[in-house]
Amino acid sequence: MRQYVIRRVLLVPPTVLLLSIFLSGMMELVPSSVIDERLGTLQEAVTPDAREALEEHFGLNKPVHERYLQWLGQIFKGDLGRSWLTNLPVTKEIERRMPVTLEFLVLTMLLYIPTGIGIGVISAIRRNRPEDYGLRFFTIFMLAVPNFWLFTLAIILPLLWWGYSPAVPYSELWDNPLRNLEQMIVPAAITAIASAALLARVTRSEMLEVLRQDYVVTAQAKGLQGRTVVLRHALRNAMLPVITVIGLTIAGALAGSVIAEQIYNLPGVGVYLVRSLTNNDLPVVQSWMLLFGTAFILLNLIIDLSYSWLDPRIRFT
Amino acid sequence: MTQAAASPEVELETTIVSRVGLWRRIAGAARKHPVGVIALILVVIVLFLAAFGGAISDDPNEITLDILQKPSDEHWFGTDGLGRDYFARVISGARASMSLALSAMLIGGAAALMIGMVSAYARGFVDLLGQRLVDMLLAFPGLILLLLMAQVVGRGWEAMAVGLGFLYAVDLTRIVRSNTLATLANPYVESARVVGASPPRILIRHVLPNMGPPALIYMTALIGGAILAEGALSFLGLGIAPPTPSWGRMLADGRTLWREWHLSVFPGVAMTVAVLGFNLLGDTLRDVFDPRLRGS
Repeated sequence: MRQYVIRRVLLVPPTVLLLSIFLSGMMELVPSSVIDERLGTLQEAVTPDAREALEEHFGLNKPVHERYLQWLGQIFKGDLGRSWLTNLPVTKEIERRMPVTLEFLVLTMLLYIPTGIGIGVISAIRRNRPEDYGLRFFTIFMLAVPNFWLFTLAIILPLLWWGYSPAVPYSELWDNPLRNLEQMIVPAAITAIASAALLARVTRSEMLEVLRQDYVVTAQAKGLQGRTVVLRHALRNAMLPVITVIGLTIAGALAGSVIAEQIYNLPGVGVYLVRSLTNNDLPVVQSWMLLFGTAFILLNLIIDLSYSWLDPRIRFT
Repeated sequence: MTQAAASPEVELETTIVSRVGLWRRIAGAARKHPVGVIALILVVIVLFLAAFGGAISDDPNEITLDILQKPSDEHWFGTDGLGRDYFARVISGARASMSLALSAMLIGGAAALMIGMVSAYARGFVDLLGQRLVDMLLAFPGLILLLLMAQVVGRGWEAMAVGLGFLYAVDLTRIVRSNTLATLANPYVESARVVGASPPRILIRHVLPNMGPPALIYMTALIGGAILAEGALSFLGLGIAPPTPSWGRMLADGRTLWREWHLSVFPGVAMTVAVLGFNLLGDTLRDVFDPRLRGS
């Protein structure tokens, strides 16, 4: 166990380093530079000499590996670079926007976990009855519906029917909690229900597997209440793959928040990424990807470790 | 070479037997998996409309004065803000979506086969580096990776195909690699090596034929995701460029013209039906051909 944990943890730094090299290489492939972006249509007016001077000023005349090392050195000092578009430090922007995305993720998870597990458990214990069929149809359907379509409908339909739309300028959670919740709850609920479909499916199949086991039959035979058997004996043992799915959904919900923030005008980190992508703001894209890529790698590590920690049978693999 | 000369009869016999077995399995599967049959019908309809939809509908890019009309006999799905027939545009959105998914499958499949097989054959440092890279990329949610690719390869149809192909490749490389490792352990690979076959020959003649079915099944299951990812990207304005109709793009435009409900409803329904068909087909194929995953 100890060895496994150490090995997995030691693998993280090289993986993050690999990610930084990968991202730098990818950004080199983009045919755009800070000069092109800043100058825009003025480019033709710039003399070759002035351009050279600008290239030297921004360090673009240096070879790739030198620029990469410089970027890496900055990162180690906690500096994620500056936006080409606004010249503001990326760190500051992400710091300001992170609470919004984080609130969205927490809210989504709070709604997602009970919904997914609930549907899965009900589906499993009412196997092949109308409830099961209904819920299974619902989950299959939800896996196929594009979430951005649901977001759109959730804005358009209330507007058409009741002339209702959530209040527009975003309000901070601490300034006006009710208004903030009004703005957050619909996108969070849609993301939660859409991702709960997969969780429900996994929970259902795991529960069916566990409900067949001898110890569940024993528990039933010795006269334990149905609820105790399901919750204490069956569900706890069905949780392993469920936890993996939940972990993966956190990453998936971040991707969902990129779209939700865009549609619902929430000033989170997802909007920041999309805005930088549309404006070719490469330093932001590169640093954003490194930051959240590292988060995804760590998330994967936590999932793997919790897996081996919860199931003693796979400890030394 | 002597092997090849001695075996044609045996080979012929086994192909016939396996073919009969396959048909019987398909017939049995159809009875056992009614959902799969429905899925197949949905997929065939979507593919048919993607291929021949142009012949049964108007020109999707023809601009007329009949703007923003509600659905009627003349325009089944109404018209959009430029007076273009919305039915024609939804149908031609299927074409964009399907051709993208299929191109991405070819690009990603080819890349995954090459990288996965070479990685598994070479072992050592190449394999280690390749697998770390794949693991790292797998940690990313698909959409985020696709956004990164959109930045690198640019906008537009071809760029989308490359970006989606890259996503496929990341997913498939692992499957190809593990299947290659399993195949390489067979005695016939060893004997091929003993008679002096070169590594490319071993990979192409002996390993590659084993890769088709698992990769194909896995790819079918991925098509639904590809359709959704393409839609999300086009919805964000980072995918297929107008005026080419794309479901995601149409939904984005429909949001600004929110009074016209039909603009936001039909592309979404079309997308859901297509994704549903491919998802269910992928599930069924996996159930039939990969019993280890049955029931999940």
